[in-house]
Amino acid sequence: MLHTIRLFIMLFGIWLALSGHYTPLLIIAGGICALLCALISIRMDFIDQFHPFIKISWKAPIYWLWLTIEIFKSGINVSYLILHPRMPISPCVDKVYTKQKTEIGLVTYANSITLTPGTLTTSLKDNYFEIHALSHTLMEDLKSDEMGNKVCELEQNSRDEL
Amino acid sequence: MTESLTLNILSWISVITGCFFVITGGLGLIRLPDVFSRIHAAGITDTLGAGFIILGLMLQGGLSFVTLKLALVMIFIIFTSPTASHALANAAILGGQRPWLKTAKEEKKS
Repeated sequence: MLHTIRLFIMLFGIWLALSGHYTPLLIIAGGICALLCALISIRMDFIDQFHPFIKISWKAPIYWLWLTIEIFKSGINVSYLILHPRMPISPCVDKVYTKQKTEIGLVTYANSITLTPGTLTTSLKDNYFEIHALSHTLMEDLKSDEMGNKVCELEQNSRDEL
Repeated sequence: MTESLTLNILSWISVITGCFFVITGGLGLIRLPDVFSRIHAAGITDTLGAGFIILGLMLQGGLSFVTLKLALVMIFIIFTSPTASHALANAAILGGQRPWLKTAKEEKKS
């Protein structure tokens, strides 16, 4: 029940933020829409799965900032590879082993890898990802497991808070 | 006055940087040899290209609803674009595509 109310408040808040028109008609329409969505999601039975999403660790913004810088660095690297007249790419496929325990940790890690230009998660297996990288240096950066450790830390942190 | 000028300059720098990355991504899409490496080029357009353009537009928007909406657009792009890339790459693998790898001969030449 608490989750349903939380979902309703979140949806209604998004409606208010995006609409920008505050006439009674539109506010009531937004309320009805949010209520309907909340009621439908009770029937769809995924309210409880929302739980971990709402609890975001306080370390998450630090991780996002680090990820942004990382995306910028490898973006420059990949742009150089593309714009270089001879295109010095050396594509490679390799396994990267994962230590994350929860599904959300794994999803965060896989999405972070794909979001970073030059590395791409092609398939997910039980304890490793198959990664396609545009050059050996990008693959080695990933293999040093700096990103994996950061995601583990984040995961540990949000589990402690739950 | 000077404040709005500084903001304008910053926002234009950001938009132009974004355009540069979008063009680079498009160029990569044509130049690179196979599906997987082309996805990387598209990834630059998604993350850095869209990111810088939206940042520039947010600086133009100032503190308003427009900025909030742009921030939401950015968040949705960040969540959906890796999912789409992954789905595309996985489908390519299942469809029997093999990644293009540099042969030893070409390695020696370069």
